Parts: sequence; structure tokens; C-alpha cells
Amino acid sequence: MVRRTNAEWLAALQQSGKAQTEAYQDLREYLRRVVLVYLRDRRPELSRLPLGDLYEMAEDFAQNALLAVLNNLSEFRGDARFTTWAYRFVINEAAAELRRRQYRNMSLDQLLEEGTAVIQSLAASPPSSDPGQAAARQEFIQQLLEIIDEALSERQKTAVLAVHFQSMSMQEVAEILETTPNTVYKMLHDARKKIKARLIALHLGPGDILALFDDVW
Amino acid sequence: MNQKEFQSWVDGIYATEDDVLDCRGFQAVLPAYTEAKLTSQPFDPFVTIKVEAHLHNCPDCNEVYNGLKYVVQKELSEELVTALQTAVSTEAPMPDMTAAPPR
Repeated sequence: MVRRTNAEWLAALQQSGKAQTEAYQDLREYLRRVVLVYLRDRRPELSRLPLGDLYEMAEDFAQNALLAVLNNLSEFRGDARFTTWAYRFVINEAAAELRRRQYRNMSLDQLLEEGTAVIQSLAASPPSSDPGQAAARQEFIQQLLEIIDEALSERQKTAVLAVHFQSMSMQEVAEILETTPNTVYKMLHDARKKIKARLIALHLGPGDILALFDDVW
Repeated sequence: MNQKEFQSWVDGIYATEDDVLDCRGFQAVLPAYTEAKLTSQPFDPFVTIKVEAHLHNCPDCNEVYNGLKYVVQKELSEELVTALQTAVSTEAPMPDMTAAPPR
């Protein structure tokens, strides 16, 4: 396989004939190798899969990514190597599929209940030896729960609890809320702004909160 | 959730500004940002702040960034080795990244 400059990649991929076919094949092979290395080295949950399965996954991801690259060729800004830009598609492809396999399929009620429980348990972990600190911590946790309840919409509350307190992927939350991951990110951002405003209004800075959880009171 | 994770979430709250880089915006700068990081090249400091805030608050994009950085770094380092060995031939073959990493 020949190494190409960005200009050579774009030219080869966009004309027809032998040069284009070779460019397609080379690109798909690059994508396949890259995603194989990603699956092997960065996804330990797949370590028990037979190598053949991994190869098959890599081929599927590479094929899908190749189509995505070709469909989005006009988006390439030339601010990075063409290959780096192309690899983004196959990494996204693989990451999205692996996220789907980790869906927890919880109901909304379950999500809210368990997320709230996680926040409440923060008051006691790690337990404070100082009763004054323990009480202050409990009070803060109650305030935080009130802020989340009052300042955020139901959807924002769901997103915050799911993503940050239950380590759910934005992708899964987006499906639960019937929207896109990008929108979920924006919802989380808006939620953060509201929570920040409320905490500041209560004259609580990051140092104040840190002090509640420090060993030294 | 442990205390460190909670503190990290709190930090994210206080670091929130009005201006936001969403996932679409992040993905658009991801290739250039990744390469700049790996090659220690300068990158727009204002964009960097927004990228780092996004990475702090977005687990999905974080995974993609770490994955891309890993594979591109492999490619860059093996190209370096190949270049040293073959004195920069324009027809140097694609480095074999599928060789298992050294333990």
C-alpha cells in the first residue's frame, strides 16, 4: 500500500477507475487494522472473544466507516491528516456499537429512584468521624437533592442522574429520552448552569463542598 | 459513585460557562486536537479549554478521544521507526499495527 498525502487521498477517492478502487481498498484496510487494534487493546471486555469474532467485528466496523468517510468527504477540513480524520469514523462506529451492548434497559422510575439513592449515599461515604461534619454533609446532600428536584426539568433531572450518578452512556440516555446524544449533552450543560447558579446563591463554593468531604474537618 | 467522582462532578458544575462546545463541535475539532496533543504542537488555547471541559463532562466523547489518540499514537510511533529504518521512502509500506504491543 502506498502512503498518500491528504491531497492524494482526496483526489484518488473522488475520481473513478483503478486509482479510486485502490484507494477504497487501502482505506478500508487501514480502518480495519485501526479498529482491530482499538478492540484488542482498549476494550478489555472483549478479551474473551475468539480472535475470529474480533476480526469479523473489525471488518463490519471498517466497512460501515468507509461508507461514512465517503459520504462525509466534503467535511474534511485538512486541519489534520486524512487518515486521522478517517479513523474517527471507525472509532465512533465501534464505540457506538459497544455502548449498545451495554444498555441496562432500566425504566425511568428505576433510573430516578436509584440515581437519587446514589446521591443520598454520598452523605455516609466515607463516614465522617466528626458529627458536626456528618450533619453538615447530610444537610448539603438534602440541599443538592432539592436543587435537582426544583431547578431542573424532569428530563434534565433524568439525564443528570443517569449520566453522572449511574454512569450511563449519553447514547443510552438519548434513546430513553427519545432524542440525540448531542441534545443530551446540551441538556446536561443547561442543568449544570442551573445547579451552579443555585449553589452560588446559597453561598456555596467548590471549596465549601470539598471541606464537607475532607477527612480533616 | 465514590468521593473522587463526586468531586469531579462538582468541579464540572463550577467550571460551567455560558458558551458550550457540544458533541458535534467537539467531533469536528477532534482530529486536529488529537494530533496536536500527540505531537506537542500548539493548539488554539480557547478551543483547548472548551475541548477539555467537554471531555470532562462527556463520557461518550471521552471514550472516542482516548481511542483515537491511542491508535494515532501507535501509527505515528511506528512510522517513526519505519522512517528511521528505510530512510523515508515514499513507498514505505503501511506499518503493521496489528503486532501485539510489548508487555
